[in-house]
Amino acid sequence: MDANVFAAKGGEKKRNPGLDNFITTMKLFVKTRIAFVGMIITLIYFLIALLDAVYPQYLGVTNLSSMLAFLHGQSVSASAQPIAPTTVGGWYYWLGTTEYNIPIFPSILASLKYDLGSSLLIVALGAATGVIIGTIAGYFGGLLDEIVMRITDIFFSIPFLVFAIAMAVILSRVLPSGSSIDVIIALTIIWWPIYARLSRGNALTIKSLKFVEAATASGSSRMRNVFVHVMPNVLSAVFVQFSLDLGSIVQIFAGLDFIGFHIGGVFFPELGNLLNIGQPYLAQPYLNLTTGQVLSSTIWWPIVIPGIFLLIFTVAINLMGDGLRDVLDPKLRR
Amino acid sequence: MLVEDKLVENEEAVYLRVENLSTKFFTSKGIVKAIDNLSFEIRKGEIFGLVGESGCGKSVTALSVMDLIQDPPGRITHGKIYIDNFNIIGDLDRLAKIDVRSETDVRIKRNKRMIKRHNEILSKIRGDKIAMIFQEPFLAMNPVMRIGEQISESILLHNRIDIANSIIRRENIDRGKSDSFIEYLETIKGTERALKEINVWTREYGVPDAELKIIELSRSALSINEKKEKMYELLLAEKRGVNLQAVFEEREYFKDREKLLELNMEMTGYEEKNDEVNARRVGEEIKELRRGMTGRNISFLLKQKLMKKQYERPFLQEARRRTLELLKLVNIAGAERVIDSYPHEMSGGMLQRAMIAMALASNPKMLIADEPTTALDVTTQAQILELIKNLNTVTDSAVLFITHDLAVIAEMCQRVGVMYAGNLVESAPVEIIFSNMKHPYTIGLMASVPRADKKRDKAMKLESIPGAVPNLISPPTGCRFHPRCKFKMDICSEKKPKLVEIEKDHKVACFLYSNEVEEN
Amino acid sequence: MESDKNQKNIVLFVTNLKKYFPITSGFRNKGVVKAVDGVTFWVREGETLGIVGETGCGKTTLGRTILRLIDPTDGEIYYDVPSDEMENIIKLETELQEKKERDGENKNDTEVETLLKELIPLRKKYSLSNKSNKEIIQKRKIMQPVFQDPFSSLDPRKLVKDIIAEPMKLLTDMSNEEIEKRTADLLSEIGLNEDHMYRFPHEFSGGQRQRIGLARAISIEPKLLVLDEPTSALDVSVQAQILNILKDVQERRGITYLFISHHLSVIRMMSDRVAVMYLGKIVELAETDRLFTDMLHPYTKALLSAIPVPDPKTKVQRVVLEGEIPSPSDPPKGCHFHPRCPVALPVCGWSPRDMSGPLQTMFDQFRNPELSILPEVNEIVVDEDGNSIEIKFVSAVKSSDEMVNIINKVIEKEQSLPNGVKFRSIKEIIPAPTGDGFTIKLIDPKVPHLREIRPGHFASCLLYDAPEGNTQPEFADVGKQAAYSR
Repeated sequence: MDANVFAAKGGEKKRNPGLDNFITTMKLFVKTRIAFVGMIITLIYFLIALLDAVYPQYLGVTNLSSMLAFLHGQSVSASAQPIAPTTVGGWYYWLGTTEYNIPIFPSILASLKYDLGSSLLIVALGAATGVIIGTIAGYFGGLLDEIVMRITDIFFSIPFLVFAIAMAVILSRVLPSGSSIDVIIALTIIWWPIYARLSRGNALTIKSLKFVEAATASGSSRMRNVFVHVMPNVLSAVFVQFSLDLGSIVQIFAGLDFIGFHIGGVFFPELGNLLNIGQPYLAQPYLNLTTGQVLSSTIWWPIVIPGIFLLIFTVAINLMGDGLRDVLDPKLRR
Repeated sequence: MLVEDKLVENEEAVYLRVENLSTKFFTSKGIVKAIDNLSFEIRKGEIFGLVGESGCGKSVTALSVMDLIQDPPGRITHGKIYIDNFNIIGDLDRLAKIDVRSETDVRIKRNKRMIKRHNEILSKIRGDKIAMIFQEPFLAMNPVMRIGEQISESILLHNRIDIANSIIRRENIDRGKSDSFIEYLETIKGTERALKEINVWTREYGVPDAELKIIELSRSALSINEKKEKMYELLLAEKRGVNLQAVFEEREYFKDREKLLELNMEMTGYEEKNDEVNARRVGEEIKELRRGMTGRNISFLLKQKLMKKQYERPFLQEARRRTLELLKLVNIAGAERVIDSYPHEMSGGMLQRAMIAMALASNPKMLIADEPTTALDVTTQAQILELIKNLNTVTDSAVLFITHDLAVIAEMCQRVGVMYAGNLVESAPVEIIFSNMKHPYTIGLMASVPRADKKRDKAMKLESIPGAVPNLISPPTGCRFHPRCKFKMDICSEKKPKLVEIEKDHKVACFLYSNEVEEN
Repeated sequence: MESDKNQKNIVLFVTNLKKYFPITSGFRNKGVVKAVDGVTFWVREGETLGIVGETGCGKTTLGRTILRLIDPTDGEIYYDVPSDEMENIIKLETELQEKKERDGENKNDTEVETLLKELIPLRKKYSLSNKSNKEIIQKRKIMQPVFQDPFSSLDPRKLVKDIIAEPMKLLTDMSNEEIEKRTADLLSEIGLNEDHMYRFPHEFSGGQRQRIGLARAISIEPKLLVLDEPTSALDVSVQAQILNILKDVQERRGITYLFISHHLSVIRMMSDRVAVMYLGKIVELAETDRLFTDMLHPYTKALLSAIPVPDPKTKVQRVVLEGEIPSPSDPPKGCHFHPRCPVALPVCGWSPRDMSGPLQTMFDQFRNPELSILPEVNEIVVDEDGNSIEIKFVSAVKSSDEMVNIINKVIEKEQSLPNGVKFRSIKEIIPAPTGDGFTIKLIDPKVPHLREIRPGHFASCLLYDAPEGNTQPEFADVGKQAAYSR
């Protein structure tokens, strides 16, 4: 229990209790070191994505695209092989190159904004839709609830990836091509049921709590109860799911692109895409083009390095999500 | 030492003795000093009440006595708890080392091996010597197990050897025994006495179902020889054709386990007294026993798993029979139906009785009842309280009755202890607590209880103790009650009063009555 | 009713209120839980009416229905009615109720119809039961709840000031400054500080939260407060504080309280009058001290004698009831209390299912060996609707007349034993035409109604029903004794 409430603390009029709450939570969070590390890494990723979106020129993406245009224009011999990670030629080449000598490092950094941005959008839209539908269904119950539950059942019964692909294909026929919108919409559609289910369950519990009845007795209409009283209390559980989902969604998004739902062509910087174009090189040995000597039995970096970046992000965000869940749960546990 | 002397003096009378008990909870917000230097005793066969409000530590006391404190975050950090003259918490330093660097930074190093042995001994003591019933029967029972199964489980945990003996005797009934019993019955005048004798005999020989028929037989007009014939027939019919070999083997196995446990307890006792010589001797005995057991055990355990029917069945059947008896003992109507029901199918009152039955399964000499009737209606509460009182009279087991309800205390208990914020502030026989209470908290508590037996006075207000129960992470200095006390003096915030006996059997911890200070 | 003329106005009148909850299993309807089954009472301005009962008695549902947090199944709730009209309504409704309750030849449907003609427009105008949520919202200003659980009655995500201000915001047209000032005043009235406005509920103790809940309830100056176990979740010393505050508030503002609790000692202390509920009905209603010393209903007596008293010298003459409280989804016939009533009459509602167990025991050869000359009992068939039980033997009897004779004798014997009252409900024994059994017919049970037995003292018990019911002497005398003696 917090401070001794009998002591009148003068001058504390306009405290912001929300901020206080947040600070305590953060302090506790910092104590769980692994989750904290996870959070730092995630933040770094997001920071890069943000910076890149706002100031593209620092990464030299414009240079990249112009460079790509240049490369594309040149007659590139199909046998040109990727350059291994090297310190020669500036930071571009630290992680080597992939097909058509596109440098990996800047590509990865550039891809972050698309990946993370789209994922954020998907999860946010899915969560928003799901929470509203689920809370209303849970609070009002009856036929509406039954219908929503059956719909979510249907969504859950279809294997996830198959559904996503099917949706994306349908949407790409319907919507203008060349955009990643179809993938985004497809994933949003299959993502909202989880949030609907989650919020509905919480809404059921919360609606039976007495303060909701008290609000009705105070003259609150049912709709008002839903948005003012039930939903804010549902959100804490949703929050944890949200952060965990970000990790999953990035992987899925990349996965879909890997399978072939490209957007913007082969050279578009996107993690899945990079994985895709790097894949064939795994079977190829790395040769010294002049001597023909085999330097390495496989050209691994075009696929492995983007893969590692993806992996680190997923792990980091999952650790952060786990830590958040532990922290937001019973606050007084050790 | 004073402690040792007291032990010898009252060895007969005292069943539970708690000495300087301290239990702490190590949480991320600080150390909760839930119980602080608590001492009290409960005599054999008495009902002792522990009363106090929420946060006073009475439930933690009960859990500490059973050593059921969740670790982490809690630990008994100090003190001794003697149940039937055996210190169940043993040597605290050997079990774990606690390094307190600050309120929020505490390192605990646990000795896993000793803790394991400690727990083995405890699981035998719990149930055997002391059993507990809880406030919410729904929470204490396993929702996916039938009531009968749960009680049988408890019976089988503690009474295996006894059950094995019953089974063996039943299968081994010979003419001699049955004949001599019938002859004995002929000499008894009066149906009631005969009933009692039959009751005892049938239980001993594992044939309680034959009771009714035996009564009928003995009251009938047949000749003595005819009676003997019929009796033997009856008993033959009761035999189950059980594989006695299997039962013998099981009995041997469990006898070994009992012996092992006893030896362990002995060794713990010697270790505590730092008696190296005896401890080593017992250790050798344990090793011997273990070596002997290994050979026997493997084959037995294998057979037990593979041939469940022969090995487990007779035990389960016997346990079920005893479960039925227990359910009838606690006045559950329709025991045959209840035994196969699930907890959620029963009402609160019935479930509470089932829990009492479960607690009594092993004939403990002491029962801890932690708010057993708080969640029940008044009429159901009356039934349960009467049941507990009857059981106390019949089985002569002590009861530690924990509640916040002063009225229940007045009705049930012979002696009472009042707790506040982890301390015992007053203890006395029940009449004195109510008529001659001394501690300001006790006085305040009594005055704040509304009375159903006093005429209504519309204008009258209850006396209320100002303030609230303190935070046990940083409790008040000195006497923990001083911030709310009407009679507060300067010393109260500086020093802690010691629990002193101010008149026969009446102890108070308050500077109004004594100057003695508690040492740390 | 004559004696009430000089007293304060009646502010709430509830008549024949019913709330049934359907039990559904999937889409099927498996019956109803009659949580509140015909409750009638009134409350005067400024008084506290205590409503007491055990689990399943319906008191909480009653409170919620009166507050219109749930819709009643039947019955009227008259609230905020001008006093002269209220008197008229009470007169009419009471007459209507009496006429409906009359069973047998005295029933007069035309009288009922004329009464209804008068009442229906009044009900439309004043009764809360038939109004929609929107129409009720304005009425909410005058009645407010205080709930039991301090932990769930306040929204954990809202500041205290918003919690207290909510009714004012929604039900009045006070300005924000006025609301803030009012909130501050309320906080100090209940003993908290002004700066506590900016905290969250979890920062307060249980007792403090109850005070906040109280402040919220009185913020819009209601005339009626429905308190549902307001102190049951609190410690004894905190309870004392809250009860004191409740008394203060009532004195200062003249609010009427409907105090629901299962704690008889708290009820005795707080109430002017008390209503005792059992399985959805009021079984007794009287002035507080009267109820505790001169109770009329057997359940009240058992309930009051079951309360432990904080005085070890007191010896309580306890009436320990047998059995458990029946489920409200399937209450006993006739008087709901009869299976557990120590002074039940034959007409109190013994039904086939009450009898099947005792009949089975009756045939136990150790108990009634005379019956052993009859064949063994094969099955016992219970017919609830026909109010009869059929007993079938494994084979036919030699002589039906002999069988009937023997059984009658045994029944007489059973009637004389303790708990033998139920056997008196047997009307006749009819041998089966096939000769292998017989049918027992029971007398039709009567339903007790809440009647004024003494001035201002109501009870619902057939013991007091003239002329058929006989007041068994042991009970009438004992009723006058105090339940406690030293």
